Amino acid sequence: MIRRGVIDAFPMLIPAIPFAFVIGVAVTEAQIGPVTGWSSAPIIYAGAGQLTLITLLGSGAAWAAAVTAALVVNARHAMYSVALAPTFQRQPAWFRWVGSYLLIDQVFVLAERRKNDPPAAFRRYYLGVGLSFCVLWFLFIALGLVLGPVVPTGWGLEFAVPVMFTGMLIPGLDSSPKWVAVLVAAVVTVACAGLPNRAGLLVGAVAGIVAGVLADRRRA
Amino acid sequence: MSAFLAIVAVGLGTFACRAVFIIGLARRALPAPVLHALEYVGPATLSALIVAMMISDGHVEVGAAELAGLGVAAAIGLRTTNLTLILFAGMCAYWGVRAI
Repeated sequence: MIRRGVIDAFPMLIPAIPFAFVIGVAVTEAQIGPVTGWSSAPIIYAGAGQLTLITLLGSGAAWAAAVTAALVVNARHAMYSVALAPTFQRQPAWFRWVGSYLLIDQVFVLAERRKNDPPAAFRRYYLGVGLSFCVLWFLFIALGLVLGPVVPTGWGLEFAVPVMFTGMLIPGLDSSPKWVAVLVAAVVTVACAGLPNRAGLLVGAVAGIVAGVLADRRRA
Repeated sequence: MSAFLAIVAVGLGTFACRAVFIIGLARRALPAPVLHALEYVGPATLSALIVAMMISDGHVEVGAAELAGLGVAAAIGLRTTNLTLILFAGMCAYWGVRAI
């Protein structure tokens, strides 16, 4: 199961490379020093949050404003935490701490599909995915600091992330209330596109959950 | 130094978001309605996340190439769970339409 996790993580790692390079460029421009910049990988361990914080620090934003913005961007992880909480109840305490640390977007998307696996199998799969990402992300950020400023960014490889997430989202929609949840979440997120710090993501997600529950009640 | 402290602050906050329910609800039985609502957290959050990725500077930026990429990925996703294939087909559609 560890191997299965590593294999599933692999295609998701490809778009992480240009992303890490973008962060490398941001660190260079923000002039916070390569070691401090790199430390954001193990300490924050969330690409979008790292990029938000570093960009804002570099543009001279107030310390509190930069930290708040990055935390808003990262608040979606609480959604993943609640979604996987019942699965983690069947896991040992150490794994709840390690698992929480490793819970990034890609790990959530992959783990969510296996949340009903036997606990030991789930744990091995999760570690396979999570550790692959963790180790390689730290490496990519280091590479990005060195190579980021000299690599062209015109390939649009970052689009690979929404592409893969879409390919994984659709097959899981096995009931009409889930479709309602997905559509409402998408529409509300678009409607809230103007909100600062991508806060629209949170509003959209909550709206989608509420809509899904209501649609389900109506059906029952 | 202040940059490093900012990174630590965001790191602690991010870990708290990830751990709050996984560790906080470790020994608590969840009521049935909550468990029921959890079914919709994954799909709704993922959908909002995908859309948020297509937004830059407050505007949704989706052209024919993006639609082709996402559409092909969704169609392939219905037939296989092979992520490499989904990635390959979706990006080929995206690059293909973009090149036209």
